[in-house]
Amino acid sequence: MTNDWSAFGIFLYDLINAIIIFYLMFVIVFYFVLFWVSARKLRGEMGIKSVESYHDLLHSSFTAPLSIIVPAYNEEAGIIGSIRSLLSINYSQYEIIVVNDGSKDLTLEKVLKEFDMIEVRHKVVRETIKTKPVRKIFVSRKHSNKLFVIDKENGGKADALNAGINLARYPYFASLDGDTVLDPQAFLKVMKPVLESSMGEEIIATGGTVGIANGCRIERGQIMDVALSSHPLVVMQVIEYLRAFLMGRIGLSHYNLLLIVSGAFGVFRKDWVMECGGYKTNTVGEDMELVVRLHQRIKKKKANARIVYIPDPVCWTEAPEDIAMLRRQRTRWHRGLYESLWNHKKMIFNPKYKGIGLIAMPYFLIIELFGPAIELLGYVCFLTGLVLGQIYLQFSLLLLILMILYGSFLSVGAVLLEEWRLRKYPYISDLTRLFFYALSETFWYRPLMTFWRFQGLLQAMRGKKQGWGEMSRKGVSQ
Amino acid sequence: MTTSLIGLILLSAFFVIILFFLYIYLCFKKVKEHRMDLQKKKWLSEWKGELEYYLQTGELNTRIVLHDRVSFETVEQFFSHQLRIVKDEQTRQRIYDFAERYLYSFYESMLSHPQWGTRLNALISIEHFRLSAALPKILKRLGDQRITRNEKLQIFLVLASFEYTYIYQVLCENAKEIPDFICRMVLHRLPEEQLLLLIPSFKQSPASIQGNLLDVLRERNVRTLEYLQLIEELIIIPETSAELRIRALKSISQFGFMQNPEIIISLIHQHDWSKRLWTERMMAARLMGSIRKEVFLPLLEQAIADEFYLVRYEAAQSLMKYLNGKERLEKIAGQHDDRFARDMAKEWLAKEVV
Repeated sequence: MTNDWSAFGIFLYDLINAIIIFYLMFVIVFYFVLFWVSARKLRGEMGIKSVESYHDLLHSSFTAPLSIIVPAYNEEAGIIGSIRSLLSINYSQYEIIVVNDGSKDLTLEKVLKEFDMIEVRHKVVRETIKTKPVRKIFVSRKHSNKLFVIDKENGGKADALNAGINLARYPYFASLDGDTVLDPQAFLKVMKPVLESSMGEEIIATGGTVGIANGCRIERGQIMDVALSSHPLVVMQVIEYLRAFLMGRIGLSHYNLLLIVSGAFGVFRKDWVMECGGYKTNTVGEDMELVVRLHQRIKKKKANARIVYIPDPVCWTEAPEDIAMLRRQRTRWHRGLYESLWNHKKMIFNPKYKGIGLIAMPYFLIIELFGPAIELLGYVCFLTGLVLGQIYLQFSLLLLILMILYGSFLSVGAVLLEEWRLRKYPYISDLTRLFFYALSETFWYRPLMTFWRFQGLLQAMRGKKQGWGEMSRKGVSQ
Repeated sequence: MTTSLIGLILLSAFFVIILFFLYIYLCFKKVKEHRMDLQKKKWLSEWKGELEYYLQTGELNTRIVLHDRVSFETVEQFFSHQLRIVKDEQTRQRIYDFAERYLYSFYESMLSHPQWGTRLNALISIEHFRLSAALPKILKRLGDQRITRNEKLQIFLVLASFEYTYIYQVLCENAKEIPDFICRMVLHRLPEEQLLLLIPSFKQSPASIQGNLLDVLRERNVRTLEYLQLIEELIIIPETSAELRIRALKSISQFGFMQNPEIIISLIHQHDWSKRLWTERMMAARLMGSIRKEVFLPLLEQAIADEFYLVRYEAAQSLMKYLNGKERLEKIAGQHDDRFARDMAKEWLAKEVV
């Protein structure tokens, strides 16, 4: 009897090992395909200066006007810098709508004072998308017709964005976080695919690469010098972002399979978003949620519409340096992913949605959402293999190699792509640090992330909700 | 077991070696770039004075030789920067002359580079430095089957900048694949005389080009009788598409004058007016604010109660532009049957306070 049980145990252990190994192999192949697509694209575009020929039209009425919506909740440290940087962007016609989502700090007061804002009375705002009550609307006397503030009751980031969309006058709107520092050419860069879209093709959303602002010198809301932070957690996040943006999003965008336009900065067609009912409130991952619904809408309307990602850096955001904060962020992101996939479960493996249903959604489900659970099991198997020794040592070694391939190797690949396309970090010492940190990913950062994301998965399954992902910011701008 | 263990260890070693080479490659690239930057700086510090002297006097030191990538890129960057900041035509011409003599051959060879990014950069620089000598080669490239879309679009822009005589024909031939924005940019770069020559053949042009041509004529603030007649006619004739009519209405608003305001009244009185695109009604409301005629007032008071917010908004704005507009809005705010019309009037009256 005991022998039967131990045989069954060994069989089960072998089976789990085999599943994990096949899973890892599958994921690695998938990522290598993405890497290949991105590498080909980036290699071809190396050194191009295509926005340069657009400069003469920066002040032309032909460029589509934009409404920039900045939701702010307790952003008193960085909001003034962000607005200032927005007021100095290179773009012909735009308006800035700051939405104070019932902040408990001095966000509203600071903005009202700094930009000499007065209340607009009798403003008729079409509430196309239902939001929490708007208390007041202000307009700046310094920047009349360009800077508005909506003061509303707290309803979360998505609700704040919806209030901004209701007030927006222009056909495209950009959503960005209160602490985002924009590249001066950001709008020109993200609007380029919109302007260059072929006849009959609609670009309904665009986004670009988000960089990490920690370590950079920022003055008056603008990046002056790009530098790599000395903080190990931040360096790892830099690599992670490079990997997510340069590898994942370029590859997926190439086949119109992009499911996320970063909440830090994205441009959307207002009419499409309104048709979709705006951002969904009471969800953690409103950015992904919206993009999935836009894809749904594309299929429903049988429209020739695309969601595009451009590799150029468009904005910079502050990454958490504190381990507790990072943990909170990652569990929140994972819950967001869970919710988005759960809400649209009908699309997963649904051939009606073609690539989205058969590739993008399953990718997010199997690799992104359940990945941490499987990887965690992988770590357990690796450790037990080491303890059991003998033939199990082989499994452990194979697992280790696969995990290094999956974690470190692909991250090094992302560093390579960065060198080809962006070259943000000028020194060999930066490169060396990025490289060796990327190599070390499997041994400390990835297990940490896996564990937190697994926690996020458990929380999501238990149904934990959360509003604004609060993060105490130092304020990146000086 | 030992064999498979050795196999795995060898596999790991293989990956480590690949990573190592990758690192060496990246470092090598970085060092090369650094060295190149230093060489560029050195080259510039050596010749900057001479280049500036050339810009001031037109006399070039014959010892300046562009024989490699370092000197070529340094000069290219130096003159590109100068072109951005210098407004004086004579100095700019000196830069163009220099580029034609010394940079042209580099760009010409870049045009046949296997990487499309390099070819695209060459096209951008050719336009930037006005190297019209490259025109035959560019036209040849345009006819090449393997040309990428990005290159093609850039070539249209370059041809427009060089005021290429047959640019309009090129546009019409490629009407199906040229995005509106690029089409407008191309037309925008043409001199006004060349644009005016396109008006007589307007009706024969492809529909997508027609709309863009109207936009550019408006943007360039063209003020000829022939143009005015064209846009007025577009409003009356039934064959005009809604999109083109909207553009024609917008053009008249900008023109600020029309020979026959009656056409607007008959347009609005057409039985299907309220069912038409809201953008058309909005443009008509804007036109009636730009061309202020008493006969338009009742139409504006009707438009301020439109079901679409932006039509109401535009109608109120137009009303404000009339002599007694404020009083009319006050009346609407107090007495109009429609609540939305009253709200809009109040909003505009409040705006005046801001």
